[in-house]
Amino acid sequence: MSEHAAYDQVFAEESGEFLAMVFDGLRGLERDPEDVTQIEAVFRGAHSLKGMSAAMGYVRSADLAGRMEDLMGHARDRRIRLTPEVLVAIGRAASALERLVEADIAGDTTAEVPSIDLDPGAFGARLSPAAGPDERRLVRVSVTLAEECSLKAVRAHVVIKRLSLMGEVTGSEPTATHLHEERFDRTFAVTLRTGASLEDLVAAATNVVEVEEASAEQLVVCEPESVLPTLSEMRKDALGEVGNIGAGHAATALSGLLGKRVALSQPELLVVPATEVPYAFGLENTLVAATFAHLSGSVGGGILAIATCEALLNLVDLTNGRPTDTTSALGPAEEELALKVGTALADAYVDAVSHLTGLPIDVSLSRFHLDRVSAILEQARADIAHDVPWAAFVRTTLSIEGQAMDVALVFIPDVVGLAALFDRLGV
Amino acid sequence: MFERVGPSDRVGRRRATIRVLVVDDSALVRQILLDVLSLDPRIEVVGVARNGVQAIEAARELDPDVITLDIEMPELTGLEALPHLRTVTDARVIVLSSIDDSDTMYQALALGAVDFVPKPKGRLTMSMGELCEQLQKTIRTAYRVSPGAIAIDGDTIARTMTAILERSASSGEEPPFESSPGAISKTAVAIAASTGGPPALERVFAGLSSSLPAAVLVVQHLPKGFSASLARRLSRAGSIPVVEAEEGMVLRNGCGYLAPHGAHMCVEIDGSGPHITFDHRLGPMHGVRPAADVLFESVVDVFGEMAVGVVLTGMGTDGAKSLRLMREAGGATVVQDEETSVVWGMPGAALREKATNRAVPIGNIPAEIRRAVRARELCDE
Repeated sequence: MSEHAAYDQVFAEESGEFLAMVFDGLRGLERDPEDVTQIEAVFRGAHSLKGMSAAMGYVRSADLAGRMEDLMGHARDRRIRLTPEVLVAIGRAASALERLVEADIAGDTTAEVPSIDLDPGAFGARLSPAAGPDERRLVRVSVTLAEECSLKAVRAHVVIKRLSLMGEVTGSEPTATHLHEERFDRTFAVTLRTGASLEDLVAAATNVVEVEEASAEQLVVCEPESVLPTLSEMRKDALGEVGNIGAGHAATALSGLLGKRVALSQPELLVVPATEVPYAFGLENTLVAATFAHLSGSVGGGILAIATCEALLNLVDLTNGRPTDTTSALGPAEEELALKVGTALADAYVDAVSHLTGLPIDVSLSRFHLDRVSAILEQARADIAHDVPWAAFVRTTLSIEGQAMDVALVFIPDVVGLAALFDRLGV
Repeated sequence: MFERVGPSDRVGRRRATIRVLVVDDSALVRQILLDVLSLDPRIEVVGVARNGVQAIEAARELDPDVITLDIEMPELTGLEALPHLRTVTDARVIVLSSIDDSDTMYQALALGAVDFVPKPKGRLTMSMGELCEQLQKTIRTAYRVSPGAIAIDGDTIARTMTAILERSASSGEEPPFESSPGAISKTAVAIAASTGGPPALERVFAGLSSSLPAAVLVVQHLPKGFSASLARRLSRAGSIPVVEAEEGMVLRNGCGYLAPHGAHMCVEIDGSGPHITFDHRLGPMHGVRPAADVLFESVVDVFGEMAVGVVLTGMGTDGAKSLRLMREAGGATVVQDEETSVVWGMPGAALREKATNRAVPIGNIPAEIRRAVRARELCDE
């Protein structure tokens, strides 16, 4: 029993902390119901209270906290909107939980639990996308880590996670694999579409331990040539899924071409207005190798396969069975390999899309480019010459014999082709 | 900062101890774990951390042998911290979490955790004895895994998943299946999937083991040439071997059969038992061939109330009407819910057809299948 008393003490202290976290979060949400940091705080507070109460055998508290967690989980995943009604219900639940926890600590099992409806279904309305494309700008946040920073990859990860709570992260420089492997000096940049202010973004980044400095700039994106047809979430999903299947097929093709086992990370899918593509990509200052091919037939437009130069050089060494870093410059032979790989990836991708939808699509011969991403993408858009409203990125990490390489396929269907795709996909 | 835990009072012990880092965001849970682990003289807790970032810092600093890692934590979650942990330490990571769906488990193992212990659901302070035994055992087992041998290939993940599921099954909630794998099937699970299907199917197979006393038949709408690689991926996801179905294959328990592109896959039965056959004459149905409706109808004919039907994410309406037939014939039916579906066409259509009243998240589909199969196994006895 004495042991239990010791736990009572820890429970009393800790439940107080988490209740305070919940109340602070709720106060923040009264001011700004869209503040994801506060939504996260209330969610986590409730989650912890649930676990602790269950561990102590306080079932009523655990149940109430669990229902709060569930409702906040729906808000976190943007399945419900935090309307005043929802906030009032959560607030009442939090007060009830506070009293219940006090009673639990005092050993009083008779305290009444008020009935509060926390069923997410009761608050129905699915959240429509919060901000339209015009309210969300493309922003690049540059971050410098402290010189003595010892866990650069971890800090970068935390920065990107915090920023992703404030918008949709579209790219980073260097790429994700390089960040994870700490193959960067002290600075990196993150591109995201967001409605948050530049000050808030800088504050979020500088709040991370060992971040020395951060700055944010709005990227200037040219106006779309025509009014963008709206793209429902379902159509975005469908376009994304087409990309997913295409990427799998492309990896298989590459595996056949190289005669090596190629593993594929879960592809990251992104559908953005085509005018934003050069900026959203993230690799502002990195030289990349790319192949571009025109599409014709039922779907016009173009397709790009992009890899960093470093990834290409690694691929060259791997293909020739030489140790990494043997090849340091790109010559005609390297260019030819890049063309072969890019063509295989693009062909396989388009082939998958074509099979899936039953639409005949032809791919032109690929051309090789070595330039900055923005220049290559601008050129691609100019080359296509048709109206291309939306582009689908598929970004993935290929792992060839243990070597990780970031590659991206950018599928840019023209407006007619896009309509045909949606028609065939039934969305 | 993370906390170091000072040398214990067992000063002067000669025997090497297993040095453990405890990571959990709850002070209460940390305290309980410290108490539980202090009961085992071979285990020494060298530090505690309260979030993913601290866990990485502590692991680098303290170089523990084993880390117990919570999932839901501030800063970096357990799953987010795992890849970093693998780069800074050789420590074997055991995930200890109340989030114990098969999906989370699969991800944790794929990221390099060696084992997964679900936190007891009830009163932790009362079930300490149980937790104690389980955790000490898991830590000692994990310690014996050589750091270099932490492989995250599909086979290892599948084996570990199976072991964990069987362990949690034997500890109460779900009894393990007793049937011998490979026996001719009396029960069949038929699954339909389209858009978004391959990753969904991987999750389903990750949660099933080859001890399942049923055959699993899959129709996934795919372009030509995809089915061989999908079968390989599904085989790697769990312990059920999945093959591209061929004419005449006899349906066996604990085996998976994926319909290849270009013909409708069906089942029929004769003296040798239920087996695969193809209808090459029938044209595409719903614009696809194979179509789930063709498979499901034949499964209803052959297996009747011993059929289990599942419709996962996908566009269109394939599988909806035949799933209703299955339900009417006494089979069990379930569909993936809207929240976790990429496209809620087929599952939604099945629900509208009143083919089922169960729409559940993808993470719960394996449990639904196990439950339905178990119910049929019991009826059959």
